[in-house]
Amino acid sequence: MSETKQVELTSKDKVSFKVDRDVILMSGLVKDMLEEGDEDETPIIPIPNVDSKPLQKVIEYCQYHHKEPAQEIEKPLKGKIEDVICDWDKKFLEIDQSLLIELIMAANYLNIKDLLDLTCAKVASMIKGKSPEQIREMFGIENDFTPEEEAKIREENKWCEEA
Amino acid sequence: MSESDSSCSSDSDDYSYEQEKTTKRKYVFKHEYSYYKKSKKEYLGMQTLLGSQPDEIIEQILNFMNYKSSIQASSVSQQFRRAWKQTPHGIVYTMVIQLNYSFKKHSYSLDDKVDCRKFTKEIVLGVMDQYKREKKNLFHLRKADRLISELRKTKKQSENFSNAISKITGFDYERTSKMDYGTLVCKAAGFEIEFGELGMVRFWGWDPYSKYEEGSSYHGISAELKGLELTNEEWDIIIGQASDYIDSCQEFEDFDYYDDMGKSVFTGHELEIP
Repeated sequence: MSETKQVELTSKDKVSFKVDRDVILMSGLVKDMLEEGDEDETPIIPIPNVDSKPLQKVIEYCQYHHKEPAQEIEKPLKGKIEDVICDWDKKFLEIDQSLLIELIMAANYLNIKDLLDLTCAKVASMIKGKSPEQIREMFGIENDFTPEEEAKIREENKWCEEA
Repeated sequence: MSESDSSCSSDSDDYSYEQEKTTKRKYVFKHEYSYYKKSKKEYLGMQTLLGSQPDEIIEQILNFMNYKSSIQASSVSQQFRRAWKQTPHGIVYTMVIQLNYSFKKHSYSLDDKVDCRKFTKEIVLGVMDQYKREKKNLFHLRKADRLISELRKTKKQSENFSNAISKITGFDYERTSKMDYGTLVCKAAGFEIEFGELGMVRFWGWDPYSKYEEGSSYHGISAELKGLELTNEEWDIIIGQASDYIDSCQEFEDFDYYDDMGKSVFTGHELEIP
């Protein structure tokens, strides 16, 4: 088994994961870093922005998808996200909301396009058809518009819906 | 005509951006204010993670939505609005709005002769200007990311050096993510200021901290790095990368960070790496 080269990733909370090199090459960031590094031993790569929980999920995703690339998700999304992704991805996305957002951050940071697309599409699918107020509530986002700005936006939106 | 064209639909976006740039005092005040709001939210136990994401991610999400849903989502917050205007839907929308304002302002009717070519050109230029301005901010962010990954490639890292990198990375992603008021601008500006200072601390022994008021958010990182006792070689790597970063940022007029006297802090202090 000595041929399978491994990489050790260290999460923000100092948990180490040993991953096959081929698997983690899905991450653009790791790939860039490995290109320069020494080949002989198991390189240790700190991932100081990602906690162990999302990192674990990211590795799971890479382990599955490095052999079976995900189909591209079309933009805009038609219908629900569950209709356009494979069963494995569906199962993968059965996570709570905060982990989902952490996954987006992790995918963005590690530069894994397919995972970023999948998670962003999932959020898009959750938001779809909701009113701004509902969306704010869902994600605890503060409404930072002044009443004047809000009125202006409402009017502008009306023009465009007519157009 | 062009004046109203380019300002009418974009002034809500520009407001915070312009304000933050004018003086340090306002900058700090805004930061404290948003921090206060944030801690109140945390007290209520609400999820704020999505609200503290960079615009690029919000843009990605909105890209997956159809026109009607995305228009709804764009009214969630300033950040959503800003990000949405980068999406294809948002760009078309901005054009429609600007046409509408112009028609309204000049009370055109179909009988009037309108110089269509001139008219269209001005509108497109207005949109492109805004687009370029917003992309510039994204550019700073990407640069920051690249800076970090360049630093991380360095071979034979000592423990202190890895710590330094975590601190720089941590500054980027954790501390500044607390500034949900205009996160993007704060983040980019934070990097500029930090690396500008870092360079000066190292090369000219200049102590920039004394001139800041209490509560400024930018004290931290340079002092923390100083405390790590890096070797000269390690400092040179960090400063080298930072000065590359600064050089590339300086291509943009927006970059200069002005001191209290309104003078750029970089004037006459070009970094020189042997």
